[in-house]
Amino acid sequence: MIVIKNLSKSFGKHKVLDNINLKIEKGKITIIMGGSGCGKSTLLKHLIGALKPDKGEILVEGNDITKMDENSLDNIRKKFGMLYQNGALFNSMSVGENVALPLREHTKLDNKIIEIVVKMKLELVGLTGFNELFPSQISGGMKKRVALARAIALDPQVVFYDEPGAGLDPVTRSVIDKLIADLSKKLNITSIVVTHEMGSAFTIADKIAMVHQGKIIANGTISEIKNSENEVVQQFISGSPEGPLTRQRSGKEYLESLT
Amino acid sequence: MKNFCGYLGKSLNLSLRHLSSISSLFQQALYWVFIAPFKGKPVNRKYLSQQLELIGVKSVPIVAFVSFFFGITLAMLTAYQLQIFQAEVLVGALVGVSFTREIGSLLTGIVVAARVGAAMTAELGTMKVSEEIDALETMAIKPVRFLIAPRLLAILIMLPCLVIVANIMGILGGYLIGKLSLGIDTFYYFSQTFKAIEVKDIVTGLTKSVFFAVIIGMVGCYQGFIVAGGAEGVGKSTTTSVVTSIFLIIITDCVLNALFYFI
Repeated sequence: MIVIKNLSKSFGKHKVLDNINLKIEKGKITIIMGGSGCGKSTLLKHLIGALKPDKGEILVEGNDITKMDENSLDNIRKKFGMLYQNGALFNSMSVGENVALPLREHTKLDNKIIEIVVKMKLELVGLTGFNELFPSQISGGMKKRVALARAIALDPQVVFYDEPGAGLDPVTRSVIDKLIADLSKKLNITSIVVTHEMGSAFTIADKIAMVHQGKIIANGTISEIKNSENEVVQQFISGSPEGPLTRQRSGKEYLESLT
Repeated sequence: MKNFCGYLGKSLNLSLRHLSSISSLFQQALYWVFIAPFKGKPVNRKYLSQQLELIGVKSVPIVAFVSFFFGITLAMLTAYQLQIFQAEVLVGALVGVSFTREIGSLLTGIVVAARVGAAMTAELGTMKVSEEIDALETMAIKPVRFLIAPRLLAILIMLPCLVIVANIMGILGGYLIGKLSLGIDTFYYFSQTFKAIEVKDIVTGLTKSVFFAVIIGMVGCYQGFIVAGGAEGVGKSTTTSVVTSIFLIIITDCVLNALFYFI
């Protein structure tokens, strides 16, 4: 479905993505995980066409989106849905209007049909009857669910999730995880989830790719990741404060960093 | 000296980059406002009517209020000088021509830049910070079409209307002084006013308002789109938007006055 080949990106002197190679399988849930600042959100932005790489290709059903113009990219984006970390709902619009927006902009459906579709999408995420409320009137978890309903409004083939569990309590987080898994299976949606929450990752993942310092250091199923011999992966999974991710610098390295 | 030259060079470089970016944004906005509707992609009527109300209808009270009191002030100041020549009866003509040709559009531009320009920047900046603009792009909805085009079209329609309101209120403010303080007959005051005002005075003022509308709309929207750094960034951009708009309005007014002088 999506193939990333030799993707590299730098911001100034800082190399954020370093020769990334990854295959995203159709209809599966792929988790991209890693610590803060490892490059996973930058990778996600490349996948939705928000950033262009310095080097490499991103093939979506054989078409390289890194070389597309804005109009061609927009045609690809209509097959995508995106759930942002904070939902990114439009505060001036009601819940129903938020979900209806992609339908109004990209289809010629009658208003009555759009209202029915909106109700169906909200029912899928467990928010029946919330149409008239505004984002300021609902909780963080509900905002995420409304954003998810909006992301699937056009029945996309691929949905991207940027830290879907961020800022949520454990119960709400597991509700969102279940929604992601259910939607992926029921609607055969290819899901790409960027997260650093191991619990969620091990619950819903078909495949996990771990990003560290701009590189993919592990890629496989849940059991393959759990049994990885890579020290960084093991420290990340266990959440241990001791390990290569937090190793103290030597006195010489410290002096060099100061001067 | 070296530091000063370096600072000057950096500022010039940054200004030119901003100018290039805002020109590109303006080009896109013009396309979505004037060309895309003929290709079956009109500006959204619902958002346009919302902006017409926000920019135009809700600015009427403050524009009317400010213009009325400025009219009073202008009449008092001109009467004070005209007394020397015992020509106070010309107050109406002076206030009328001043407002239609210059003050109506300039004052309205400044008031609207402060009120509407700031609101545009704050709203769009907040949307930028909360990834709403990114969400539009991900949904294959052009942010320029969805957010800027309705605002630009609304201010292009409404600012000349507000200038007309300002002119009327300014003349009425001058009339108040003429009637109550100088004892000028109502009919005489207004006949002197309309005798002095020429069509070209009104056209000059309204033409300026179109330029001011573009400045306020584009600076306000551009500053909102480039916000970075959370709430602090929104605050800084809002201030920059208002200051830049007012500065550009005054410079443009000066240039247009020089051009219109010969017409």
